[in-house]
Amino acid sequence: MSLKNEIIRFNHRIDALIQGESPLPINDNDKELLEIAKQLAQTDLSAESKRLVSIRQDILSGSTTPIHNRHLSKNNRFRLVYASVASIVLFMLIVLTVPPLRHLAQDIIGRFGNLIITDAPTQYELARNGTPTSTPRPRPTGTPPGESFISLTYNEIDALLDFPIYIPQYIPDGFNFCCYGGNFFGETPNHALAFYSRQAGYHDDMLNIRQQLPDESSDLIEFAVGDAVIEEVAVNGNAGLWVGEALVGQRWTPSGEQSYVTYNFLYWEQDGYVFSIQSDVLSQEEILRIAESMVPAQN
Amino acid sequence: MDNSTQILSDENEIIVRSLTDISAFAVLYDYYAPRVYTYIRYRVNDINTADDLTAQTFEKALSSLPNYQPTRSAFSAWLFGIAHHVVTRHYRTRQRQQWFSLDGFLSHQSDISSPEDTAIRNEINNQLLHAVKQLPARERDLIALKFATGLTNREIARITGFSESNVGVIVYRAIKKLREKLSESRD
Repeated sequence: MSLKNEIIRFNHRIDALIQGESPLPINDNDKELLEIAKQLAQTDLSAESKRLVSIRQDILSGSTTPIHNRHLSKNNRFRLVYASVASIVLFMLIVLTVPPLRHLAQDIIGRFGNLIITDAPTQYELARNGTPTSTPRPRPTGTPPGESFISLTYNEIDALLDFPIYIPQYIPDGFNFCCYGGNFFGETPNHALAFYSRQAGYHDDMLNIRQQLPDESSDLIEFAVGDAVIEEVAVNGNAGLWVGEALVGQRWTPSGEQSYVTYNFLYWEQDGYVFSIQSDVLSQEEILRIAESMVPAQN
Repeated sequence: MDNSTQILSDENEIIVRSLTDISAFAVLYDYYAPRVYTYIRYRVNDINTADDLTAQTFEKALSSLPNYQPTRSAFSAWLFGIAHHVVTRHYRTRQRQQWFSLDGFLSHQSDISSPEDTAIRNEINNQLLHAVKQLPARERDLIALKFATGLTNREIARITGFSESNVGVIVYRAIKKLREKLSESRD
């Protein structure tokens, strides 16, 4: 049987399985694959969610009027879009042409690879000052927001990268290496991101070190640091930028209370890579010491 | 989980009623929420994000319900199309934000330390989920669509933009990879 036919027949058996039937495997190999498919089809992960009931209540309580009355017709929607675009253009013209308003436009503080650092207010500064933002709602579980994350050992990340990974020779006392990580979306990664942590209460102290291969084709990414302390520094003779106490994070206590967190960053370019070090507790002196100790790993 | 593709017997009637009576939408929510959550959970690594994206999916479904056309697709295909879009948009946003690493770090902390994460799921789910997490994004999406939603390959093809035969090939290869990963984890 050709591979194509094998795949078609296998998919038919999976469909039968999903429909609740018990398709007969054609050989041992098929039996193993069908067993995995059966496990997948029977897996219900919803039991782990603690919020499906509250989501239900939120959705239903937010909608007491008939749905179709709450929505604009297509014509109105187009009018709204045109009006929004016109308003934005008008606002930009005013900001950029009227001198007293020019200061509203953000300044670029630094650029490292495709990362642009600006002094625009951070979303957490806006939230703290009461300006509406898209800041996530506090979570009742006390755990912070997350993203899909892949945890790798040194050997695993090393196998994925086609450049040598720089390793710090100095790490402050108490910090332990956790892993390399990131979300590579099935693509070849162009960076190594190392995580270290130190036990401290309900949230560990954090330190992470990132080594990025610049990619000219990537989109520019803006990083707003608001009122952070900005200072030009040197790292092994290379120009670097210190961004201190940037209000760019938030945490939840075990009781579900929200608090804002500042982070320190150091950016610099060295040997054709962009490096960044980030921590919520380490001082400029400590972070500079880590940065200056970075050397390529000897495999 | 009963993943059979059978629909609510009076689904179309419930959808029509949902346009004027929000309590009717609750029936749709109760029926589909576990499957939507499971689909999303296969694609994201932490419970909170899965909850958030499930909420976004149903909020979007509710607001878009007047635009749903039963003649064009089954309600389940339409709903999981929304879920697929919500997760894809989430990743695009995160891809831009990953430079800053904050959420990645925090999520990793919660991923490895949250007792609720490990206590609730049983061992089989854990192993399976761990293996699915290691698949490339495309295969992970198709496995989630295939097994959490009960959609046909043709419906999945419409949502993802792959050809129907390509969906079958990717699902087949992904299951073979899962077998290898599960076998490695048991050794």
